Amino acid sequence: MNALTDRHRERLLGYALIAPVAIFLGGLVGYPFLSAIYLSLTEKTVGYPAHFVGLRNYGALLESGRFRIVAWNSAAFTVGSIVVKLVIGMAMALALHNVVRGNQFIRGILLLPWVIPTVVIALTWKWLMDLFRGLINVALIDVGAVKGGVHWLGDPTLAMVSVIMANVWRGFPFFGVSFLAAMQTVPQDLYDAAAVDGAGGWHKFWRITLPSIKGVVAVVTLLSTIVTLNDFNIVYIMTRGGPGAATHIFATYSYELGIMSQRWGLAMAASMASLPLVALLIVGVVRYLHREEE
Amino acid sequence: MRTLATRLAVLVALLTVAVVPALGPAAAAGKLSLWRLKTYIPPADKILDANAQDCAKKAGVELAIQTYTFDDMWTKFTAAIESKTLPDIAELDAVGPARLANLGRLADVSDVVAAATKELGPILANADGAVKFGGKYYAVPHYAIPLVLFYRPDILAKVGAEPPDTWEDIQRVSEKVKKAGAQEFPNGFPWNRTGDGYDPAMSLLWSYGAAWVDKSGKFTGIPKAQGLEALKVVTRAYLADKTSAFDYLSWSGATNNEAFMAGKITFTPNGPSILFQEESTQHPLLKDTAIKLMPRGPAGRNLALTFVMNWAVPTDGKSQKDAKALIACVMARENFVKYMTGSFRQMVPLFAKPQDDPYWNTPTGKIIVDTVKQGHPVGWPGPTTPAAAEVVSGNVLTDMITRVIVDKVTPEAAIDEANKRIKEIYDRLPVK
Amino acid sequence: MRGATLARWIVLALILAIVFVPMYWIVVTSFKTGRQILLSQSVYVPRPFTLDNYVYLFEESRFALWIRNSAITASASTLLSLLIGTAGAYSLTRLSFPGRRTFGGIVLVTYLVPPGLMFIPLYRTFIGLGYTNSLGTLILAYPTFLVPFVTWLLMGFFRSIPRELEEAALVDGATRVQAMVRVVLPLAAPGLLAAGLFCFTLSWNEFLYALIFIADDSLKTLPVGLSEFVVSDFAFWGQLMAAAALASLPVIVVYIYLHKYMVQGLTAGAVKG
Repeated sequence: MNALTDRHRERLLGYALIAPVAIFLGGLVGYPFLSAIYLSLTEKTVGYPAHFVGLRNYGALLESGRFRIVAWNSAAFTVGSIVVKLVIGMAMALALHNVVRGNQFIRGILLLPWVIPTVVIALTWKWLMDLFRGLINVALIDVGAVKGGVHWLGDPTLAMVSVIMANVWRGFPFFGVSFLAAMQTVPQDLYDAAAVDGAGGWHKFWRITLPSIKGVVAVVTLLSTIVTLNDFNIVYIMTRGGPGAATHIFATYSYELGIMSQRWGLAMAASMASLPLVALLIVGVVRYLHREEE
Repeated sequence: MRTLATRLAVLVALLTVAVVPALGPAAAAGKLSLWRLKTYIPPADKILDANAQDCAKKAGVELAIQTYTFDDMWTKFTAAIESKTLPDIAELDAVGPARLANLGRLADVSDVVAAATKELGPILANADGAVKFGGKYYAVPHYAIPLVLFYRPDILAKVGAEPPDTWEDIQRVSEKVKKAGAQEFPNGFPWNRTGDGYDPAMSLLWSYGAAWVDKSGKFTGIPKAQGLEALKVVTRAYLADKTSAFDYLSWSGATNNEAFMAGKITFTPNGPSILFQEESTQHPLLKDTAIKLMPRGPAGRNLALTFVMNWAVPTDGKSQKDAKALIACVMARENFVKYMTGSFRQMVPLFAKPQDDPYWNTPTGKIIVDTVKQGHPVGWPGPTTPAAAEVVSGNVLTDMITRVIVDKVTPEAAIDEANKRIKEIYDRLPVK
Repeated sequence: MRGATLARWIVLALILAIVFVPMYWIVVTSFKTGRQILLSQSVYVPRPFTLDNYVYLFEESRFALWIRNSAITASASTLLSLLIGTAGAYSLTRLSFPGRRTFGGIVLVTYLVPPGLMFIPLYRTFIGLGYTNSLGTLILAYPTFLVPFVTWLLMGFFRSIPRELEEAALVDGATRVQAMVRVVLPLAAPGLLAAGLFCFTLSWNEFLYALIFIADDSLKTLPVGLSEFVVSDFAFWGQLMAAAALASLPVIVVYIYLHKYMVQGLTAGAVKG
């Protein structure tokens, strides 16, 4: 008798506590998302009513040379940033691991890029890379490394490198701090045992450290990939997607379509394009994590 | 636990007190709202605001002024168009009146134009294309900032070249400058997504007889032969002669200003802002900076009038009569001349009398006013239509050029692509 | 061994240098005059230096107002997200009810919806509700991307707290809610703090929604206000960098003071979640 009421009460409480989340996300994420799907199937120019056109927007995008460039750029931007962040984050974690004095302080300083507003970071890197007066070029010319300024934001390939650099600067602390914390939960006796067996530093890293923190690496990489894939601020502020379309990514392309060309239907279709990638990633990582749990 | 709970409660209470007032909608009733462009001449902005507030006080209304920058203008207006919250008075750019009038969201201000004409003389004929539709005025031209050709007479003298008159001349002289070792990338024409990009782009096409519409504003497409000629002339600076650096294609409209003032380029199309910057900082290059009219091509000198600001009265506002009266007051002779003469020769009037003011009677002043007098509106040889507006705001023309330069597409393919895009725009947005 | 230590310090020095350079550039530029910046004079150390840019921020621009708006928006969004997220996380980890797993999955999936996709439909939703151009619009919009993360983070944290403690409280006669508030929440404090700091930072930095949803000059938040310093033809770098320095200062101070907890909470969620 009592047990039933308890379970019943627990269930009610469960629903009650989850209700705010449900209402909020349902109303302000679910509904707009469905609305976005619908919009992507219409032709909606700002100020005019929307009218249904089926898959025509998607067709137009697939045919468009520019969209293909945008998709490719998004992939390059994301993969490039993640790989570099992984490496630097891992280096940072390894360097700080087992450092006792000043560990907290250094870690605090290294977290700063993650804390500073992204708008500030984007503007600062843009100014750092200014062709004639930016610190980087002025310094390079002063030490004689180059003769004229490097076209950080003007050369199509370099522009992509530059926005990746800014993104990495902002994001690597998240990787470093997470990896470091994970490393610190690895029991010391594993390392001691390996040392007794005559294992060197690299072996310890590859055979003990890395496997032990695999889960964290996967989660952090996944989260960062999603955020990076959807990034808007950095590219928008540094290059607006230029030169030409050399750094145009999904978010900036969608913005351009929606605000400059005033076409919301097409803008939504362009944004939708990044979703299949994200979905695949999630499924992949979740499966991987579940396998590890067993 | 209890202290934590009390602390939290206090925090929440403080937060509520701070937040709740901010939750209400922003606009207060009984106030006129005015949105204007934030320019790079803060003193001129101040004069305008003072004039407007003065007019408001005289009329017994309260005026709330808000600003937007050129970059976020359409973000702000797009949001307002969709949410039907356009201000009582809006300072619109060259394409704003066409877009909004076509949506039926602007009030007829022919009476205000008539009043301004009484004070300031007739409107420049070319300015009509952007504000007059179906015989009625839907905006009152405020000022224009023309694009002129900046150049370095000292460098030209050094390499023995004459100031260029045609587009071809510019390419040739740039080559000469580069070969003489004076500068590495002297040709500072930026085909970017700003006015410094699409203004010369239009002027270029028109100078080669490659407009995309006819006199009535109907779509004809960019003619292949003329388009190719135009493209050839400007892409060689990037692809063949290497007299332009790829940086000039990046988004900022500021790069060419800074490059010119850093002494790195010989030519650049720009508004008179470079003169203003040099004068206000006593720049060492001031004595070596000169301007002339933008170049001509085989089809003549067809300049563009793309940076124009116009006053409009959106129909979202509830006090259209007051709004119109305020505009008329701001454009009254005394107010307008005060603004114009405080603009460091940046803001050119679009009415006859102030154009003839002795204020413009300097070597540079004459060129600046001349450019405005000769400029054609967006969508020439037709009127400014929403479709023409989108060709400009969608950067179709500069994209066409950068597709050749950056993406290495053939000029023929780039023109085909551009025509396809333009046709799609004209199919979608009716020519009214 | 010594080689490894040397390598470690070299790596650290390099990373610290990379972190330091942009911040140095911000500060140095903020003390330069327009002329020095335009003509690239005294690039590395401004001589003479000027405070004009900072003065301008408070006398001519609406910097103080932007800070106020950002502070209000960030605080309120954080509070709202914490409330909603905590309740949700507790429900998903401690209580059983049909549909729990699916629901948990859905909550996490919503984190993936890109703001670049959402800004237009979300704006239309607010237009439909007749509630735009107010800080409240942002306060409602930000939790859409904060709540999923908070929920996920706290789920990991709650899971690491042994059930026995709650059971003990329940046996002593407490209700579920009392057990949650008195036993679980205090133990999850580092996680809550971490989630709160995270929410605050993300809200403070948010740009796209603030750009589109707010029209009124007096309601602009900091990131949007900063973009005002780029005025078509040029960027007023001196003032912009001064604003950048001051805009980062509050968050930096908070973090240096509290980062210990933030790291604790964040990694507990990542490691155990």
